[in-house]
Amino acid sequence: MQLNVTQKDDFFILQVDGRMDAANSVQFENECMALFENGMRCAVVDLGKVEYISSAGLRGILVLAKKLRSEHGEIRFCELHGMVEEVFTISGFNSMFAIYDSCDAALAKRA
Amino acid sequence: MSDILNLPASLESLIPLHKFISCKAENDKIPAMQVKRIELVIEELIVNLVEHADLSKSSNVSIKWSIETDAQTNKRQCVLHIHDWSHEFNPLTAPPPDISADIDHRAIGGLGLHFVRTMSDACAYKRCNNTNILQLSFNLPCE
Repeated sequence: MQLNVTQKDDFFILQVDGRMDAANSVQFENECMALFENGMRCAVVDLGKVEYISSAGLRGILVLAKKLRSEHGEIRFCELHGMVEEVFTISGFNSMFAIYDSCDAALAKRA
Repeated sequence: MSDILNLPASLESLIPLHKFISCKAENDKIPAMQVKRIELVIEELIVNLVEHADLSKSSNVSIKWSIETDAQTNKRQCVLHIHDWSHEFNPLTAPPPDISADIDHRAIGGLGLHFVRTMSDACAYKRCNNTNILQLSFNLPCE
């Protein structure tokens, strides 16, 4: 799993590349917590390059979402396809979070 | 490659598990989405063992892979038999998570066994000779 981070205005864009399984989701959590400690409060998570996700990956996402919310921040998601989209649907994450077709669409929506 | 994979119930087993499933799935021409569902279900079962099972007697888990074809309908299924030797536990009776809860009320965890039940097309559990045996079936397109 690789996390590529860029910034646009208030939003951190987190592009995840690879697998989000039980073996590497801790890495996602740790890198996100480091960004949070350094001031990240609003994030767009781009899942377009995620080939596989399990409940461990969702756990990392939920931990980050709760952390951002505790500081009145916000999290948005984009580029869900295939297995990732199915896992979001079955877990109810698709109705819990704001999901957009593209990163541009996620950033265009004003809070 | 053998149809049976024996692994220690540990997160380090996810890499050989991925290789085993990829190899068997390619050989049996299983669609990519169904391969990911199969891998997800087995990962969730192994993680559940790691987190909750008493692994003092045996920490192994055994996965048997088979393809079955109904002679009358010609429908194919990938059938997995997963054995572990921990205390008696039926993962199919675990309480379902509240998937309608909002972020503030969402529990962290509890989704793994929900995926086991929902991603497989059929599942059955039995306890036999101090062994937990879970049978999972995944529908496949006809050849």
